Amino acid sequence: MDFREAILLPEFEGLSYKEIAEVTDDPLGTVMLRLSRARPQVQRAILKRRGARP
Amino acid sequence: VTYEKLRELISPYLDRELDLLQSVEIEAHLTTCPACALLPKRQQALGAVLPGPALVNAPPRSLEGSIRAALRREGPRARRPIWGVLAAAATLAVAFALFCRSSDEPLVSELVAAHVRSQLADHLVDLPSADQNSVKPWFNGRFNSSPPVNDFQGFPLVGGRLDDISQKESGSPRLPPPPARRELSSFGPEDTSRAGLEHRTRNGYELLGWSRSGLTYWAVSDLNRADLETFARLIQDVPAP
Repeated sequence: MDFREAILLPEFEGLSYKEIAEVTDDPLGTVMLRLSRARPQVQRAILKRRGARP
Repeated sequence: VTYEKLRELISPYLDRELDLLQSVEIEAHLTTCPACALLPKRQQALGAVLPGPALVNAPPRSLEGSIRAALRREGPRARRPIWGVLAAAATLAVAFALFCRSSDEPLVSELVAAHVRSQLADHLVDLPSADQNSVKPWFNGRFNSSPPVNDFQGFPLVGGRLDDISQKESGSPRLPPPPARRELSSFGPEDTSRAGLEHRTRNGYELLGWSRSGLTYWAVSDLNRADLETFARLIQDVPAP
C-alpha cells in the first residue's frame, strides 16, 4: 500500500482501517502509520499548490 | 510511548479507530501539547478539501486537439502501440437483474465509474490469482454464480473482484493480456432483448454487452473495439456450464 492508496481508500472509498487492511493485505498498524504520514504530506502539497505556507 | 508514536496515533484517533485506552491517552496528550492540538482541525480541513472540486486538474482544452493532431501525424502504425500502453483494463459484467435497453445507460455509467475507481485506488482485484480453480470457487462462495474465468490466449487471468453496482452485487474475474490488463465483472439475469454484441462508448472507454445462459455480460476497456470484441468472442465461445 502506498501513500496514494492510504488516502484514497478512507477519504474517497470510505473504508475503515480494518477494511483497508483486508483489501491491501497489510497489517492494521501499517495502515495507521501510512495514513498518519500520508495526510500531512497531502496537506503540505495542497498548501504548496495554493502558494501558502504550512 | 514516545512523542512520535503519540503523534502518529492522532490521525487514527480522529478516525475513531483507536481503542478506549489509546483514545484516553491521545486526549490527554492533546490537552498538553499545543503543536499536536492543531492536528484535529488540520485533518478536518483536509477531509473537507479532498472531495471538493478545488483539487481536480482539468486538462487544457488544447490537449485533446494536440493529441489527435500528433496521432494523425504519426499515422495508423504508431497508434496501436500507443493504445497498447494506454490500455489498462476491460471489465466484463454478468448481470443478475433485468436490464432493458433504455436502462442500460445508467448501468454503463456505473460500470465505467466502478472500473475507474478500481484503477484510481490501484485495486483491480480482491483476489489476486491466476488459478481458475481458486477464482471460480471464490466467486461461487460470494455470489450465486461465477462468470467464465478461463485463462484465454493473450488474456491471462489475474484474479477477481466484487463490486456493488446499481445496488446489485457484481463480480470481476480479471484477465490481463500483456501489456494490457483485462477484468471481468458479473451481475444480473438475462435481458432477452439482446442479440449479438451491444456496443457503447463512455468517457473514452469501450463497452460491449451480450447475454447468454441467463446472464448479461459487459466488457469495459480502454482498448480499441476490435481487441475488445476478440476478448468478448473468447468469453462467448466458452461452453456453458
